[in-house]
Amino acid sequence: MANQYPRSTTAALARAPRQRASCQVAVGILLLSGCTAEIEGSLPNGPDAVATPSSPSAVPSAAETPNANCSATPDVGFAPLARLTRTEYDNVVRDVLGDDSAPAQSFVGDDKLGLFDANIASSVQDTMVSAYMTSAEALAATAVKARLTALAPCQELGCSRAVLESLGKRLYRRPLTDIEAAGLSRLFDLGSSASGFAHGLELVLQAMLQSPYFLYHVEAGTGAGPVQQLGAYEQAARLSFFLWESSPDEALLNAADSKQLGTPETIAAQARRMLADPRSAEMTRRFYRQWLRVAQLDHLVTDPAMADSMVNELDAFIDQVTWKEGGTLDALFNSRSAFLDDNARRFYGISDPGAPATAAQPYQLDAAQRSGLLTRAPFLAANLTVPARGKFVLNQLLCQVVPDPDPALMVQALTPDPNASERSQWQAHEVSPACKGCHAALDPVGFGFLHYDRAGKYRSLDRTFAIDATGILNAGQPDIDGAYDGAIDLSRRLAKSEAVRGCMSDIWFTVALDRMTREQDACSKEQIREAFAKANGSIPELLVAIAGSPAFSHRRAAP
Amino acid sequence: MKHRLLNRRQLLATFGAAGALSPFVPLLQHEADAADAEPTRRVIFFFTPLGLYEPKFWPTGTETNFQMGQILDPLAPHQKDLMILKGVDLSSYFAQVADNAKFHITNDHPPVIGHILTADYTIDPKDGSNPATSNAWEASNVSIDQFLGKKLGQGTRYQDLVLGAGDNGFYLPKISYTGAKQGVKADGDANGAFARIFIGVQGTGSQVDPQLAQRLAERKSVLDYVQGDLNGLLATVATEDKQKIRDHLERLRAMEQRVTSAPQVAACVVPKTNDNPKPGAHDPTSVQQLISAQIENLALSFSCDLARVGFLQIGHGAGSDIAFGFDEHDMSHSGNPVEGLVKIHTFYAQQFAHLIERLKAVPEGPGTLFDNTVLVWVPEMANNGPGRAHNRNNVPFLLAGSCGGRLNTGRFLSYDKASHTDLYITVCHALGLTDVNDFGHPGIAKGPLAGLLT
Repeated sequence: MANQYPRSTTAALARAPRQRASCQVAVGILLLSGCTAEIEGSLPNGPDAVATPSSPSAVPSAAETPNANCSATPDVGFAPLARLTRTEYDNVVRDVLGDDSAPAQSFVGDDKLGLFDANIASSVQDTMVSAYMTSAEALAATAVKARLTALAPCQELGCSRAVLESLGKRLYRRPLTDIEAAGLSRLFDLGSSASGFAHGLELVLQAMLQSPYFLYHVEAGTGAGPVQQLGAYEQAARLSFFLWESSPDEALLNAADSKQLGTPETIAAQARRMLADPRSAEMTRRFYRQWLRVAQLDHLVTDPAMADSMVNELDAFIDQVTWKEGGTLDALFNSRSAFLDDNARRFYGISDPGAPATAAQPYQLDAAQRSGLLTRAPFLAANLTVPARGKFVLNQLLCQVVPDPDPALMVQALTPDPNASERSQWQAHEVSPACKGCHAALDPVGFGFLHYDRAGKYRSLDRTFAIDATGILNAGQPDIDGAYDGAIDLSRRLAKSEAVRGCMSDIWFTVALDRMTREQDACSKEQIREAFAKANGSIPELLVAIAGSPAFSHRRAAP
Repeated sequence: MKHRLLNRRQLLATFGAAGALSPFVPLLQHEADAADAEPTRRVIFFFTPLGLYEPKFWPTGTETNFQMGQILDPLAPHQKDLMILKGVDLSSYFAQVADNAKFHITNDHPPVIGHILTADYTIDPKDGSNPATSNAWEASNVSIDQFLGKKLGQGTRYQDLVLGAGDNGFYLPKISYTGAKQGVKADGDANGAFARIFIGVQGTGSQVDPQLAQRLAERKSVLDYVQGDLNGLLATVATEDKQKIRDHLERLRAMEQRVTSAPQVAACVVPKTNDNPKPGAHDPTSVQQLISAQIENLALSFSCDLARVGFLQIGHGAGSDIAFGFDEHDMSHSGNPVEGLVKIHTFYAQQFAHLIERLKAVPEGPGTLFDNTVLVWVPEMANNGPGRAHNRNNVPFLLAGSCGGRLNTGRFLSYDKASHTDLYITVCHALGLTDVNDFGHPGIAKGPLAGLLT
């Protein structure tokens, strides 16, 4: 997947805001990475973004999609073996051992799949192997000291096997094999013979927490052949790591025990049950935080309290539009609901003297200035400039790749002009041969955001210049293409776009399956897009559709 | 008795009965090494992004009497320890360009960066991603740091310490590889790395846990159990995933050797904590502190003989966090403004000087750690072509340290289209691996570079 490049650019701009519209910044960035990479605060290509400049739409319509047969033996892409992310590790030990100390926050940072945490590409680091040991020893010691009774209701030696089998099932996301249970029992005996039941259990936990069956998402499938249906426990684990970023709960394991996860309908029913759990809301918040890269607000926003307020605002907004206002793309892009603390109220120019300073209060924002996600502080402050904002729309909402500049072109730094409007300075890039390759694609989409300054505050004038926030959307999508005026109008178009639905469903597919989409996934992707469209762009329904797709219940044995 | 320090003899007595002698072999070996005049040799690869501004880098003068460029001012006190190499190319890159029909490559950061330490081809993911931005490009072979780690780190806790600083958190293809497509991410968290590296190390002055023997024996049983699981899994995972599990297994075994013995090492002084900026801090001061902390981690690891190979990655391909308000990447192309380039590259030279100085501060035998170490400064690329395109010929490589008297230091050497493959082979020979005469992509190696080995 594509990705981002140097923060140096961002940092430089944050310190030297007046120079930002110069080609010195923007162009250099573009040459480095062929345009799509370097615009500050910009985002990578969406998953599966294979569009070329000549075919801007990465999202085939239903009519164009090859007739992929989902009903016979479905084809699916290969999934590389993934290691738990830090979030997954922490959530599993929280849910299974009752330990909320989040030990994985001290681990080496996760790799990324696009913008999202996923450890699929590389080997575990030398230092992580010892970190896993240290963490396992600390977690096990705490567990038997603080929560022995909860973990082992019966602490007679005769109960040890039942206890370790029950813990093993939660930690490995499947029942232990007889060989495993016997091996772990020997470890138990070693510890208990020296220092009693608790110590025996401590050694067992140390081993389980370092076992690859805990640390990796191991799947074997059922039957032979290149494409296999998942086993019931593997299916349960995929569901829980997708929707909760954690291991299955008792209900899910019980469903697997009684083979109740074998059809798309039963899987979808479990998914609906799970979406009602707060862990799904947290997963969804984390999706948007990673997608918008709010982590970088820490560096872009000078006041840390303001950065925190923005993240809280995003979380509350996502909760609202996903779970309370219908969950649709329409709500995501057009809702004016906001939950604002004192910092955020100042940002939006809202005066509410009686309101508490830190506890966020609900508001409806001014319809002339703001609408949904793309007009809000967290997005705008993380994507500072016209091309960066345009690039997010193209890459992350339309899954398009912006064409590369000609690498032979020499970069010339343009002189910033304090006497020209921001728009006219960006427009200069569209005629410069070195700049136009990217800017001609990015800026007409980014111009819609000119009413928001770099911090994301609304402005009616650009210094002394009147603001022209009109632009042209040219996504290869007749239903949304054409001239638009401002980010609110742009948001309205994007919310009803088939291309945006297709792009969003592909990005969520990548997150759900911890892998890139592949051409073998065509039938699943089509099925998911259809369901998403039928549900009027409801994100919760999209998640259910992904869970019910063939790709989610099958695996490919080799690439 | 609680505060008594066990000496090695007592420790051996403690474990002898349990048949735990084997974990001490590396320790004893190390001691034996020291007794023979042959020192323990070490190597650190030091990566910086985007090349070095060549008009202010290349020395003038002769091989042994030369004046270094302005950005190497911080290294002036160490000039007699340096080897500055002109005319070294990333030859594997040019080979892949010539092979483009079969092994596609473009001159973008992601496709080329995998060549830097592997001297071998990179692999086009062919997934439709943009080569200018795709982190899906991967190297096709082991990198020199991991290769040497495997050879030199057999008896140490870590084969290769892959540390980083100033990486802006964005994501680029990795630089260090244990094998094809098996990149190792640089650990950019200096505090976390410190805690992870030194866990359980009993330095001089540490107290000994009275239940140590039992704890270590139990730990060994647990790790043996985990090894069994890894072996079982290795047999069942897809071919593409086996390297991940093999690496995990190998690292677990290496760790087990050390953490199931009591690693008391003479002259190893491990401070209690290390308080440094969190990764993700982006101002130059914080980044400098992070780099210093990582240098400290490397120096301490070497002094405790926990590792003999290290990789320190400043920034990543295409840029860093430092920049001092300049656009690092833009400047690397435009050459403007010169003061910006000089500032950033002088900063890199300062960090390299600091690494030298830190190693010179650790006594070892009659001299210092530095005397037995070679440092290899690997800039990402050159910027010498028309329009200052990112070029891969005449890349400004710089070495420091004689590696136990095996390298001719204080040199400015010029070559005609030498390969970085041969530079790495030279480093192998300096480290005593004289049987290594090929590395990376086949057909490129010619043998050690002239004039470097004593």
